[in-house]
Amino acid sequence: MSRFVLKRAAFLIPTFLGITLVVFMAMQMIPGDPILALLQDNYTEELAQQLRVKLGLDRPVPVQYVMWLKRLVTGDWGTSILSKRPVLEEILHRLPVTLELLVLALTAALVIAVPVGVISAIRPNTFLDYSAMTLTILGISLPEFFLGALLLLVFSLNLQWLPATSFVPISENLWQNLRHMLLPALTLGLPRAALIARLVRNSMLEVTRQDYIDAARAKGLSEFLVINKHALKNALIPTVTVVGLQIGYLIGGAIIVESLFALPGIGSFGIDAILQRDYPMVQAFAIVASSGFLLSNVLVDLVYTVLDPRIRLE
Amino acid sequence: MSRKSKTTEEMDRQSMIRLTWRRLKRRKTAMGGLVVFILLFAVALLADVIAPYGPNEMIPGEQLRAPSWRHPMGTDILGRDVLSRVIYGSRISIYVGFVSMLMAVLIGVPMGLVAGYYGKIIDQVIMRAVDIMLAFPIFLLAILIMVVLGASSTNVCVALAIVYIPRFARIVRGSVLSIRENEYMEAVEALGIRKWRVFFLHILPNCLAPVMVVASLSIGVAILAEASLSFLGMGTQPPTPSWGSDLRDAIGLMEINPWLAIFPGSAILVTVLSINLLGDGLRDAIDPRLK
Repeated sequence: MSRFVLKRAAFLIPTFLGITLVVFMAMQMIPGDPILALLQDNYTEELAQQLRVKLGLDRPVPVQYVMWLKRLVTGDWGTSILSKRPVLEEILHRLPVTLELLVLALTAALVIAVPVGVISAIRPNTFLDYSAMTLTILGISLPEFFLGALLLLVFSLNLQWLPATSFVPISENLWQNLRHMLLPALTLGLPRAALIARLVRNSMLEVTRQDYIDAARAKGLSEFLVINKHALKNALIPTVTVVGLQIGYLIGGAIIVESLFALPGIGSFGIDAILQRDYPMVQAFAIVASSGFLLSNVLVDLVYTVLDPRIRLE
Repeated sequence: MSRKSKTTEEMDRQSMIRLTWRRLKRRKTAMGGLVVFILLFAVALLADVIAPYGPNEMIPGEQLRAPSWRHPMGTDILGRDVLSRVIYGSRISIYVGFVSMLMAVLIGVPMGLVAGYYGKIIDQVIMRAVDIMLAFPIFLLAILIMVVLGASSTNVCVALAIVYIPRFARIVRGSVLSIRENEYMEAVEALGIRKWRVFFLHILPNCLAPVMVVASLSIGVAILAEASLSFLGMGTQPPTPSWGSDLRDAIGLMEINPWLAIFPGSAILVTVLSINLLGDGLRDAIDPRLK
């Protein structure tokens, strides 16, 4: 087990370096002079030259990359052009909101998807199955921002059950915070639920066809135990793979959902930074979001080993 | 001898297409998707003829109208006919969906072929680059590329193509590796057939099934991505009609006129749904094992 963890962890480092390289190169390729953006109205040739030397922008590009990487690792992420505050501080300030949104959305997705998938699989080709699968293909085809707009329209504007675009931090009032997070979490979670439900159904169908399920029934186990203990556990293994891949979509979706609901998370902040050309923020946003994806993939791999001990041995 | 084998090969390929089509025809949902998609395609092509107004034509004194006979989908804040904008908007969606996937396939498939066929250092270099690209969440990578390229619908195509190239390269490489294990590849080598013939006649056709399935389903994802980028203000720029950016403009006005959001949003839903239904059917028809 520990060897497996170590092997996965060792894989993290080159991938992380790859990510930083892509982000660094992307920032290099952006047209325009970063010094001009930093100094804005205070621009003079002399000041620009001083800043260039200070930031190492007069050095060769590979050297710049190494210097930049060093600053990144040591926590010196630069200053936001817009807010004039340290980038790392801004990111850490907003990270909890995004993490809460992701956790709630993933929880909502799984809580909806697993029962729907299981019920569809144990009653295949019935009306129930067809309606569930029709709903899921609709769910997959819905863009988050349209689903979010519809939920806002119905539950905030018309029924007025839930607040629209405002936010209460979790530290201030948990109940109010959850009321504000419900629609964003559903907006982000429902399309994922649709996809996961289809997968749970398919892998349940496959598992329930196997001999050991017949054996479990033959020894007189209740149908409930056969499905929930014997079939579901094996059916969840391929599902976990997909859930892992879905985290990438969740991160992308969180950017859209945060912008739509005006949540003060990293996603909406990243988009603001892009639209206003706050490049130190943009690169921090890209690195944090992709590193989060990287870490979650490793976590998913670890979950496998719990679900399926055979994987550890390979 | 070689002539005869060529004709049987052609026959096989034709029968595979025919077989796929026959299986596809049996699936009602897939055929429904196909019909709807053909209709949407026709709407995009004939937008100039069908649309009652120009996409940017502002009708004085008719701002924010609810749906009526005169304006079946109402009008927006500038007095533009929403139906006409939705009709013209289909052009951007379909253009981005197809062109980006075409670019990704045209570059990604040869990359995968080369990596899988030559192996060794070439494979290592290509696949490590692919791994790094795949380490980014799809939408984040698209956003990052848009930051570099600048917002426009053509750049959205380029960004989505770059995002999908590693995905196709990886699928094709995997297929090539398994095809090389087949006995007929030994026969091909023993016969001394030229490399490019091996590539195009013996390896490529056998890789295409999974590529077609992934490409057809990814067109839907690309259309969603274009709409999402435009929704965030990073894709198609106003006043060009795009469902995503029109929906963005509608959000603030939803309380007054919800139809402004509902029609462009439904257009995205119907388009992506038709592609997903068709792609699902195509996957089952080409190779049920891929399910």
